Amino acid sequence: MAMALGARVKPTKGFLLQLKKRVGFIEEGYRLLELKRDELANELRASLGELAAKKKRLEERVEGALRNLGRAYASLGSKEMRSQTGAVEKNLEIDVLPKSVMGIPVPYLKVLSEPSLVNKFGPIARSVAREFQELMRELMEVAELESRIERIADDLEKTNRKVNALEKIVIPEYKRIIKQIEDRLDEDMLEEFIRTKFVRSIISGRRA
Amino acid sequence: MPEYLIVRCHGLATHLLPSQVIEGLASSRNLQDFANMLGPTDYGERVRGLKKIDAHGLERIFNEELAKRYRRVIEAAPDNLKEFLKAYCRRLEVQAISRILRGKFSKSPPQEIKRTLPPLDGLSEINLDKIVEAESVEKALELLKPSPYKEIIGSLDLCRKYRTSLPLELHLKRAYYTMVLDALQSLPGDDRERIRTLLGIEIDTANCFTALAPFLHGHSPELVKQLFIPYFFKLAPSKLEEIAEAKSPHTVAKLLATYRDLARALVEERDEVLAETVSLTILKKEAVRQMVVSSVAFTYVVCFLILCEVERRNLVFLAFSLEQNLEPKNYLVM
Repeated sequence: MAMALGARVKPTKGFLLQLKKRVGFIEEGYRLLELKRDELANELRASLGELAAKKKRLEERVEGALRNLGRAYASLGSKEMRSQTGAVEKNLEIDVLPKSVMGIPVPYLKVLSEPSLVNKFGPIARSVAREFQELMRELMEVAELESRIERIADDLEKTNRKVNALEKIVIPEYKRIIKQIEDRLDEDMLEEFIRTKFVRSIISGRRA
Repeated sequence: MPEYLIVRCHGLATHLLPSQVIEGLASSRNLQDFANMLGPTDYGERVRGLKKIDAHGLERIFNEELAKRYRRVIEAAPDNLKEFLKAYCRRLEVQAISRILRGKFSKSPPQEIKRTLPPLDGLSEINLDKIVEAESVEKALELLKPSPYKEIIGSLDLCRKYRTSLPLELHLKRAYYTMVLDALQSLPGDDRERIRTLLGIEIDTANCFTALAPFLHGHSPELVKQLFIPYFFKLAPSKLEEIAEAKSPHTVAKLLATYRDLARALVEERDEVLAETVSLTILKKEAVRQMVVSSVAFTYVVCFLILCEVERRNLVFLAFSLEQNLEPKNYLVM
């Protein structure tokens, strides 16, 4: 008794060969995706470590910079500080550009222009201004890294889903269909053999 | 008669907060505690009048009190000393003009510039409002032509070349010290020399900060060499130029041996607030020393004004430190 196959599945040898070829191809893709998943997981782990270290350093620097800003503020007075900060050029321009990491587009920040601190500011304010400019650069590095981690994590999730789908659904389904076709072909072959045997016995009965 | 002025300053000096009080204020737990401790002082009445106790409100009171003390001294001075004292007290006017020109150079709106001006009531003869409203820095400088600061217009080219208002600000200081040192000529010989020493310390430390800008912050040595205040006390111009060119901390420390503590704060600690504290401490110590040796001379009056400035600085520092939970003790001028 022939098993029910899908409408698009033809129980032919040609189709079986085509299907086997396709499964081979899918399995190859599955292996590659598995490799990608492992690589992404490694990259994510390394990036998270880097982020933790950078964030710790940044927090320490922010604390120090705020303390120094507070002292500068206290020393110069609010009006002088306001006057000095008001004179800073407002030309910080950043471009967000795509960069590919293992085929994943991650953003990277390119500073097009930033306020120049050279030859600017009187004593005290210039130290604070410099510290904050360095802090701003570090902040951008951390933002870039966080965004990169987010994208990698997203892609890792997608890749994982694909790997799981291939491993648990697609490949077993194809294998099941192949098995069904093979069984069907075996049945057909047996039927054909018996039919041939019948015909041969009828012919030999007539001769006799 | 200067005697009345000197006696008056002896009286006013009793209003200055002694070191123990400043130390007590530094130990306040919070701003409210700080304000309460100021109750019995000259600041008490206005502090009590504040709707909300915050550092900005207190700062305004301290600035106003300094301006008031300047005015009192000028009012009590005889005509022959009034000119010098007026010139000396123009440092607040210089501060204001400096902020106006900085604002004009960076094209800040007039309202924003006005917010940065110190209280000057009666201490300036220049119509600052008109300068604040000037369309451009060039127009603002035009308005300064009838004042003692007319020469600073020459530094505009430097400002344009290096894209900074620093030359204008420092040339303004230069014009101020020129004016004060000129006015000093009218004083008797002994007072002249003593006050020159005090001004010399101020100028030297200001030049020191300027000279170290290339070493500490990468400013252009060529620019910095043109920004010194050309009155030198213990630091010769050649030494300042060498400092501006210096590349190693060792060289700087060697060249600044006269102001060793200042050099240490700037070069080793890289702490400009501490360096400012050190420079004011040097000035205060000299002023206190002069007050003892010249207790019945005009120098006493200038020393009193210096102590008023130091008190204002300490109080402002304490107010903001307390508001921001910072430890102020190493940064007080004692």
